[in-house]
Amino acid sequence: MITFLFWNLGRYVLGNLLASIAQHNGADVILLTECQETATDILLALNRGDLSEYHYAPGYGGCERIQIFTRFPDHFIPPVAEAPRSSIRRLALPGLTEILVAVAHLPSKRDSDPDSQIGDCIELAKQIRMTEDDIGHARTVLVGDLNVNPFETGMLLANGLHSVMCRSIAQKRHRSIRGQPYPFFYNPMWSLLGDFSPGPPGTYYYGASRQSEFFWYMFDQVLIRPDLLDRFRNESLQIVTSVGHLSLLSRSGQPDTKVGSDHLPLVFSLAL
Amino acid sequence: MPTDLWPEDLIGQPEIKAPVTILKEQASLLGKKTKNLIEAEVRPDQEVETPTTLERIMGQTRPRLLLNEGEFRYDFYLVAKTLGYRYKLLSIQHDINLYPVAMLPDEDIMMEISDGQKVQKQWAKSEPELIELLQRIFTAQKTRRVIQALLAQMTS
Repeated sequence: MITFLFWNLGRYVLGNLLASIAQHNGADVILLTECQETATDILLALNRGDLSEYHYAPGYGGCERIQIFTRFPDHFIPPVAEAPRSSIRRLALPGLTEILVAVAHLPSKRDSDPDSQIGDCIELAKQIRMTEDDIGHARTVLVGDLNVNPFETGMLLANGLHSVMCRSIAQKRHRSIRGQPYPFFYNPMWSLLGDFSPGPPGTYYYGASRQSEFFWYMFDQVLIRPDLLDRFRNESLQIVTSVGHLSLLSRSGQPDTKVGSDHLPLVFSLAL
Repeated sequence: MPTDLWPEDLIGQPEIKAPVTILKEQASLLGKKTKNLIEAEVRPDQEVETPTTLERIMGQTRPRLLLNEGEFRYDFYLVAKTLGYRYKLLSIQHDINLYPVAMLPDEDIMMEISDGQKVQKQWAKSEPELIELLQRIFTAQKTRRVIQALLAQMTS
């Protein structure tokens, strides 16, 4: 079982807290964005005390937004495609099934507009499909801060991320529109929306004075290709709200930036 | 069906450890001492052909083809990944017999381990001699200075 931890650190200095969360959850692969600290500082925090478990896994330099740390030497997770907002890695551990790990941090709504966000999803989807064609398989997991909710257009469009809420639909592998096949992603984040599911209603909170406000947003997401679905159990996915006795939430149940980031971390596992 | 003239026990535990195996073992130990801020890598000496597009995509380098008459060459690097910096500490060369192996460390280190004499290569005729030479290289003042300088850069 390989455990992944994704966190948008929100430019807060959180190396030590990150280390606690990583240790508590047994994270083998740590995927970060909006790091205020250097990779050196984060590595020192992860390897505090007598530990030297974690390695820094740099990319080619094509994506400085994403930082990756692993509990195995980085040559097992080389970059295969990079863009300013995304990094795709080929995870090939000895004796385990090889997969692609795509990590992304798409532009925020503050820095973008709805049409551009749709375009970003389309471009990311295209990059993933091209990499899958090059590598020769589609055992891909996409994780990151996509800055859109699961129900937004870019996530749904067939030529976008084409992500669906239902495993059985995703297991059909693709859908053809006018003769063109479009592969699915399964999006388990749908099942975590709102407060009828365990955990918080989303990963990010924002309450503005405007007519239409969601308050809770599910910007941080994990999407799984059908070819990897048999190795993913929904129960392994959680939005992290505490580590030990330390809560990442304020008394009102929102991400507490006095403790952590304005985004909550995601943890999930794959049985490779 | 032709008679199989090959011995039955071709594949078994090798009797001697290849120099590259010893280098890789040592490489894996450095990270533990530096909290993986500095790691070591062993690579076959430079690729001889331009990688294909797919090899570039996949981050692969092809091992160097055998050089003259079955010669093997490997480079041992100190790598500071958070700095994006790599330093070649030494190279080794040997033929199919594995020993003797020629050691070519960094120039300053060579001066240190050769008692100030200008020597192009140091030779290890056996595994114990290789281990002894490696220890002298790893504990050389220049080696320590490089590691300390890298650490200082990283934590500044």
